[in-house]
Amino acid sequence: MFSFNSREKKELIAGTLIFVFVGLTINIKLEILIAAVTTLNIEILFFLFGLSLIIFPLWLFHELGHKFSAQYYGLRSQFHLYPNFAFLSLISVLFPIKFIAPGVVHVRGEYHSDISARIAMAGPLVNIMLGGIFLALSAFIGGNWGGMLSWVSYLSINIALFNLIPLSVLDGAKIYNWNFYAFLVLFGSSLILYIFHPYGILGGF
Amino acid sequence: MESLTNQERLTTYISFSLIISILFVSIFLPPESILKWVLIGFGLILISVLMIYVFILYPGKDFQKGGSRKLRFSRPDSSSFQPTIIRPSGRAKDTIIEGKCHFCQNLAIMGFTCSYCKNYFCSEHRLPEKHQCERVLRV
Repeated sequence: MFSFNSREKKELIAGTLIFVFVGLTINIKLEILIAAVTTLNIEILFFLFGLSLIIFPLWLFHELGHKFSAQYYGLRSQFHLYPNFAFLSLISVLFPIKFIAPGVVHVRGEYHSDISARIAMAGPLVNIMLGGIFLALSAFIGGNWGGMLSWVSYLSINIALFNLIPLSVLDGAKIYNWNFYAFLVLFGSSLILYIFHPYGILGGF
Repeated sequence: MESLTNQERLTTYISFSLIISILFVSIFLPPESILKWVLIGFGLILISVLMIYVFILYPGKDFQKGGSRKLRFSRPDSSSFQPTIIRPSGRAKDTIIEGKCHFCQNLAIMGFTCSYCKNYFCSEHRLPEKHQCERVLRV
């Protein structure tokens, strides 16, 4: 039922690498990243590799959520990497506000607006679920890695919340236009964690 | 809520109560408590699993069976469908490129003149059914 083409696989890998690179620079300064790679500091490189392995599903599973849900409804869907968006994402590592949207999933076929909203819901729901998993894990693990997992859960919730903004082409607009209450559940659950998360605006309260 | 099925409505209510529970846990448990973050984490997992199952996977079961074709391709039955054809009453003589939308009263640049009622509309309300076109409604 679920299928990829070879070009799409390459674009997904490229998009994931861009996300991991930009995602790492949110918490770690670009200079430190460059220094770790140039000096070949094994300890830091190991840490960065581990962190990359933890954060790559946040974006990849979000896009796959859209893609697989569309295919589940019998529609054709394909991920497309936009070179100009990918370039913008890469450039954003130099700025304090990051832009991470190297591409989007295109859905082809004839379908109702509620199906479009259901497909749009899949991505943020995956991020909310990953946010919950990483937050619960961080409480169990504790220490440095626990703190890192907690930050990854916050990043996941940020991705969900950004996508749920009810504007133009974002997922939030499709859900909001279809059903306000379904939108409110998704937006509310991510907004609460955005506020009360240890890394959130209230700093754990 | 009208566009939701009973199951979806129930899931929405359960999710709202879970969100309120998460809010209470966030406010009343201290941040150093492990239980707080575990409860919040599991609350979010529960909401997302419920929503994924009821809103995405469950409606898709009809698609798997093939019965959902009706939902995807819900065109009217050609034997019983008799459309009422309303012909436009001619083009507007003067082309207006800027003005107020007759429906929402917002400024519309490069808007549209309705072929039926001859009023000027923004891109959002250009279609007769979007601006409740008087001439079409009369038919």
